[in-house]
Amino acid sequence: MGSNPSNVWSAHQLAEFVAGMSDHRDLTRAVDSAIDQLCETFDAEFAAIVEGTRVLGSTGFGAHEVAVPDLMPDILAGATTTVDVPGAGTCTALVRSHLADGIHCHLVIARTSPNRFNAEEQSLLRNMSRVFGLSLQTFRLLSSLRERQHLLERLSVIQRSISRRAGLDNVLSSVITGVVELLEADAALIRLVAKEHPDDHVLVASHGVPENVVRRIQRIPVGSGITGRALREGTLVLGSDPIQDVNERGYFSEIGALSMAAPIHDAGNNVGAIAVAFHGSSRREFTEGEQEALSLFAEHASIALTDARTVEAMEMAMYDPLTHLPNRVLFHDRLAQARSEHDEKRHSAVLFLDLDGFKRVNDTMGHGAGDELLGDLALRLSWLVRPGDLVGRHGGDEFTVLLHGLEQSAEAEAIAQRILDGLREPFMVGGHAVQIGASIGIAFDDGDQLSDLVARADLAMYAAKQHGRGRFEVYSDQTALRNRQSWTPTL
Amino acid sequence: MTAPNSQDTASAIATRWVRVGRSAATDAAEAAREVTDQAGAAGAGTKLLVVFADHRYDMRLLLAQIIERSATDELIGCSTAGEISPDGAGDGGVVLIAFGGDGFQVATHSAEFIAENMRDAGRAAATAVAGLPEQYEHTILMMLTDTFAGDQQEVLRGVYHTLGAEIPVVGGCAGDNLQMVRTYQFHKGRVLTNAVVSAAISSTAPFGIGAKHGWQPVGEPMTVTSSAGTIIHELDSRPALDVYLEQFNLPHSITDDSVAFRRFAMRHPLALARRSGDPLVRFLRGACPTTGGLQALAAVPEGANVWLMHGNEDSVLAATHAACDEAFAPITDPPLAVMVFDCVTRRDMLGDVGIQRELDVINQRSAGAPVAGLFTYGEIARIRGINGFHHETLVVLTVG
Repeated sequence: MGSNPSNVWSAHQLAEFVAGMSDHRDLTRAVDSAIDQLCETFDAEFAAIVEGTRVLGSTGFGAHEVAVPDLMPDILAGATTTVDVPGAGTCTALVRSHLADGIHCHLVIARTSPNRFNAEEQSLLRNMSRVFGLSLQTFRLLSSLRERQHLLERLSVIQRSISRRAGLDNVLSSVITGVVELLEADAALIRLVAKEHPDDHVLVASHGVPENVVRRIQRIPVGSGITGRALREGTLVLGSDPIQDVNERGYFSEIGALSMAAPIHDAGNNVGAIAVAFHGSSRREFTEGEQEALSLFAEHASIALTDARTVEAMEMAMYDPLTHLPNRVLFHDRLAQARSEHDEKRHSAVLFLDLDGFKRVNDTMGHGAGDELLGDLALRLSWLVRPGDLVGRHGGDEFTVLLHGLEQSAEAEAIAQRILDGLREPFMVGGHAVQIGASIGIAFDDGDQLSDLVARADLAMYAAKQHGRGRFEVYSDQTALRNRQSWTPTL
Repeated sequence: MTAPNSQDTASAIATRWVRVGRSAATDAAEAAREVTDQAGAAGAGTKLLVVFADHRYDMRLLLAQIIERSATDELIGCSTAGEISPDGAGDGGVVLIAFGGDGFQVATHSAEFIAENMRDAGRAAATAVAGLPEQYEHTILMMLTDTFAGDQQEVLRGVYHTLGAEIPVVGGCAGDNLQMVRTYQFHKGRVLTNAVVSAAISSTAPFGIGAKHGWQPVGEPMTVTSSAGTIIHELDSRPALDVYLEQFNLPHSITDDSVAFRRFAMRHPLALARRSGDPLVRFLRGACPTTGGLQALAAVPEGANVWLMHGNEDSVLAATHAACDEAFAPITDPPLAVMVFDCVTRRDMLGDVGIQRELDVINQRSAGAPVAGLFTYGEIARIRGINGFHHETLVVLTVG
């Protein structure tokens, strides 16, 4: 081997090392490969790679590997230059470090050979430590990009569930699941200020919190707990500060938790918070990336909340606040929708229902009693129609019912009759049994204007009233003619 | 062929024995009967059976019959490119090496589908050591593996990571009589391929391992400028095949006959430079005329410094002496047995007469202890450091 100039040797070894490092896509494999190559290149019995004070990998100690971390501080500090490798005896150690670009890594080798490491070997190890340091930096960058990608994927799941109007509970659950999985947290919870009791802070979603603890910390005064602090301060807070609430603190300290929380807001007001907790003491701090991730999840919970409250407000505008039935506008919308889904073999009909005797209740028992009666009546009406039929409040004591999918007109008449019979049963209003009745007009959809359909049912209802109340009439052209001739108010 | 050790007497060391059986019978059941009888495998205290068999046997029947007729089912083994027994080198037969006595402790292990992750396979094979019921002062790991699965040095890296410097490793790659199609590894009654089988052997007396090749470099050192795993595309930025053919003044037409090329390549391997100056020999398995590449039996990394090698009978036999010197150095008394893992390329180069000369050298050193082993497609001897996979090398194991 006389023709092996040493500088050529080290250049080739470095080239092999670079090629070896670039072969691997994950850090564990790259570390394994690097320590193997260190042993092979230097004929070493032992090789280790240390980042900061953490041993990323070592080879040569076999079953005694656990002893390696304790040996490193003295070797890295230069306090010792030998390593006793089990089975190989005392070996001379060489350390070269790469301390730049935020990476502090050390390559350690040791071998039994009595020859000291020569200048070329020392230089080669230094160059290898640089190569490894740069590779480590690349891995860190890649892994942070992968984490970012992972975060974006989680957030897009939440965004989709918001846009699908999956329901606030579902969206908040997916926020909790996302945050727990991404941050690998042991527990997470979301609290919102209770709508009906603004002094309370209610647990609305949680993950990893035992059932008995959930019951214990379900409702706490606003401002207490780490979620209370986030709510009060309107910013992300870390749980190293004292936690006020005994229950929440009690739980988090039970699991030896480190926690952080971020506020959730709606229309410019802080209305809740999301908190995550980690068991035990293995974690010392949260990285900036983790804090940023929690804030992003909180932001998404806020969007979901605002969206849900907007939907709620929209629904409020479409529903009658007294009976919670669709109002005239919504009923019209649904009617239009039903017609667009029209099946030629089946028919739709509208029932127009006007109460008989309601004015008397209002006059004798007061408007409160009248409202109570309307509320109960709306509920009873909903039971008397078929599932899927739509009951709406037209106004005053007038109600409309949309019947879908009728095979024959007799079905509509049967339903009208069932309603009439059902409403004859007395209602309990203010402790008194109240008897009222109704008159119903039925109009079948013949493809005319929708507003005409309700109007025709209305005409038929008047005909029913004229024919003695407590009955139904089906609209026909004759009905219209008769009504035009003898229309008089009946109440 | 029974070779009971003459020291079967009182002391702990003397309660250990190694006996060898050999059969040329082609019928598996008959061969099993012969080798177990000769090795006294049915005797109480039998701890480990090591089987080397021609790849054409009905392997399942062979192993089942050997185990049936033995006092233990702790068995490892493999198919061969020829068997070595106290009778000399042979083909088409079976050799059984039985270890027994209180002074040995044994545990075996196998890992399959090793091509998927050679390093993990090595780690798995190494767990045999943890399975030892008791560990005496001297422990080795014997390992038999499938050369076609991939880079065998990866297996050694995995073993070293698990066992460290403390446990020497010895063994070789199974053969198939140069068919280069499929090799088998044996574990207990199972016949495996794409596998590594291992036996941790712990003993009250020392083992010795020697590994030498005897090849000499020719020409100037070169750089592997392009390679992928076991395929070498370029040497010094030129098609590797061109460089190889030019070095040895060979016509391109030799690549038309893959058998002829392989036969030449066996005697003219590649060597990788190492710091110690003792290069790692790499057998070239074939050439690809269309891409101009060479295929080695183990990975040749890009950037590596390599030489082409050649050998002659004298240099190869000089290595036999040197390997014996190394293997006999740790033992003071005559050995119980000597095991040989000899590269099939050395057999090819030395011929029948030369191989007998090699075995005569070993037999002379063993002083009457049985010598047994096989011709391999790659040899394993990790004595110090992490490097332990060899090509075109003779590995000698003395059981002290």
